Amino acid sequence: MQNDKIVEYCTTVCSQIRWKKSHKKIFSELQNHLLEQRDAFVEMGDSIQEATDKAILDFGDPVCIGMDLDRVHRPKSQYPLMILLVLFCLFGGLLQFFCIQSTSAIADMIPQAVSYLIGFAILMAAYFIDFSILSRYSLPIAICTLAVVLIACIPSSGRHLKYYIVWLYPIAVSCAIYYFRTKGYAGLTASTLFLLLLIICSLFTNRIMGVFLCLFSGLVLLPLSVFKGWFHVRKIYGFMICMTPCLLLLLTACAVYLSGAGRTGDEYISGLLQEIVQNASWLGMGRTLSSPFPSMFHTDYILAYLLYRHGWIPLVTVIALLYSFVAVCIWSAARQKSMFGKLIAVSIAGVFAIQITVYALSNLGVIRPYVSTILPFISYGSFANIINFALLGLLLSIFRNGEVMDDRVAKPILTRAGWKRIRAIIHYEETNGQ
Amino acid sequence: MDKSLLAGSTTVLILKLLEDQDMYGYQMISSLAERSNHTFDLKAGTLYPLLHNLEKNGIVESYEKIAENERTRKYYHLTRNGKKYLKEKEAEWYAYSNAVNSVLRGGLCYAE
Repeated sequence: MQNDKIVEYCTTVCSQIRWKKSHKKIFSELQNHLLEQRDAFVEMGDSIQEATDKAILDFGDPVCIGMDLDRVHRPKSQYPLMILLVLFCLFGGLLQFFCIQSTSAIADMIPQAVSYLIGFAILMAAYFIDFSILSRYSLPIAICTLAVVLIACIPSSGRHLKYYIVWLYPIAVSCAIYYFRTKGYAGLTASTLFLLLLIICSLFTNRIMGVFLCLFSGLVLLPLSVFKGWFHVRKIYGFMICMTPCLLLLLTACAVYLSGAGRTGDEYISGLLQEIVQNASWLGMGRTLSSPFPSMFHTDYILAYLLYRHGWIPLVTVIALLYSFVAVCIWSAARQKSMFGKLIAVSIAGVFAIQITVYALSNLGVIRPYVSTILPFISYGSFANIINFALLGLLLSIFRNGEVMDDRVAKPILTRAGWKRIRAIIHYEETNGQ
Repeated sequence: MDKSLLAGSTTVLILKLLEDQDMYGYQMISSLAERSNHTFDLKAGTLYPLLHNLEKNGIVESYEKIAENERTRKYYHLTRNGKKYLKEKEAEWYAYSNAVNSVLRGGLCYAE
C-alpha cells in the first residue's frame, strides 16, 4: 500500500517527461531514493505510513521535478549527420551521372535513385526503433548469421548472398561477444572460435572483404572487450587468446600479397589506374590517357574518375570528408555508456571505415587484384547502398537512444577459483560444526 | 537561511562531495547536511535534475551497484572534465566570496 504511493509519485514525475525511453531508469532511481528515505524515517521511529508520506513530501512537487527532468532528458537528434548523408548521396549521384557520359545516363541512374529512396526509408525506420531489442536476441542473431554464412559457402548459393553477408560479420561478432561476456576464458574462447568460423567461410568463398572485416573484429572488437574487462579475464591472456589467430592470418595474408601470388588478371585496369595516378593534376583534368576513360567506371572506380577529371585536391577533400564522418561516428561510439551500444556502434563505424579504405586504395591501384566493395553512399550499388543505409540507421539509433540503454544482466559462470572458494567455505563451516 | 544563496552554489557543493568519493543521490543529501551542520538541506527534487544535467554535460558519470539491502544504487563519479570544472567553479567562488567579504567588512564609505 505504502509502496503504491511511492510508485504513484514516481509515475507522476515520469509522466512529465516526454521521452518515454528514459522513464525506466529515472523511475528506478527515484523509487530507490524514496525507499531509502522512508527506511531512514522508520529507523527514527516513524510508522511506515508516516515515513512514506514524509519521504514524498521531502522530495518535492512531482510535476515540477518531472518538468525539470524533461528539460534534461531528450533524445539526441542526429539530423546533422542525416543532412551530411543526403549531401554525400547527392554528390555521389552527380559524380556518377557525369562519369557515365552517355545518352542513357539518366535511365542508368534510375536504379541508383530508387535504392537511395528505399535506403533512406529503411534508415528512418531503423533510426526510430529501439536498438536494444537486438541485445535480447544477441545469440540467435549470431547463430543465424553463421547459418547464412554456411549456406553461402554452398557453391550453388546466390552470388549476392556471398557478397553482402560479409558486411554483417562485425555485428554478428559483437552479438557473440555480448552474449558470452562475463563468462571468463570460456566465453572469450567461444567468441574467438565464432570469429574463426567466419574467417574460414570468407576464405572458402574467396571474399577478401570478409577477411578484412574479420581482421577488424579480431584486432579491434575482441581486444576492446578484453581491455574493458567485459570477459573478466586477465588482460594479457585475453589478448593472446583473441588476437593470435588474427595476427597469424594477417601475417600470412601479407606474405601471400607480397609474394605476388594471386595477382593475376585486371592488368588493363591496373595499368589504367596507374596512368591516371601518374597523370593527375592537383586541380582540374589530368593529362590525356592512352585509352579513353571507360564510362562503366561509375560503378567500381568513381574515385579514379574524380582524380582523373578534377585532380588530387577534390579527391583528397572527398576522402577527408568521408573519414571525418567515420571519425565522428567512432568518437560518438566511444562515448556510449552501454556495452552493447558501444560494440555495435564501433562495428558499424568499422564497416564504413574499411569500405572507404579498401575502395580508395583499390581506386589508386594500391590494392591489386581489385577487392569488390562500394564507397558508402557515393558509388553505384543498389542493394549494397540499402545495406549501408540500414547500418547507418541502426548507428544513428544508438547515438539517439544510447544513454537509456540497459545492458542486460548476464549470469556469469562459476570459475574454478570460484568453486575452490565455495568448497573452502563449506569445509570451514563443517569443521566448525555449523 | 535565504534559499537563493544556496541556489547558485549547489553545483559546486555536489561536485566537491564527489571529489572525495563516488556517491549515490541519497548519500549526497545526507553528507551535505552533515558536513554543513544542516545549513544546507538539499531537496531530492532539486538534486536529481542537477545531477542528470551534469551527467549529460560529461561532468559526472554514473554506474549501478547492488547495495547490501539488495537495492540497485546509482552512483555518480566525477570525470576528468568534472574535476577541471570544479576547480574553475571553486576559483570563481573564492573570487566572489572575497569580493563580498571586502564589501561587508570595510570598503568605501560615502560621507556627505
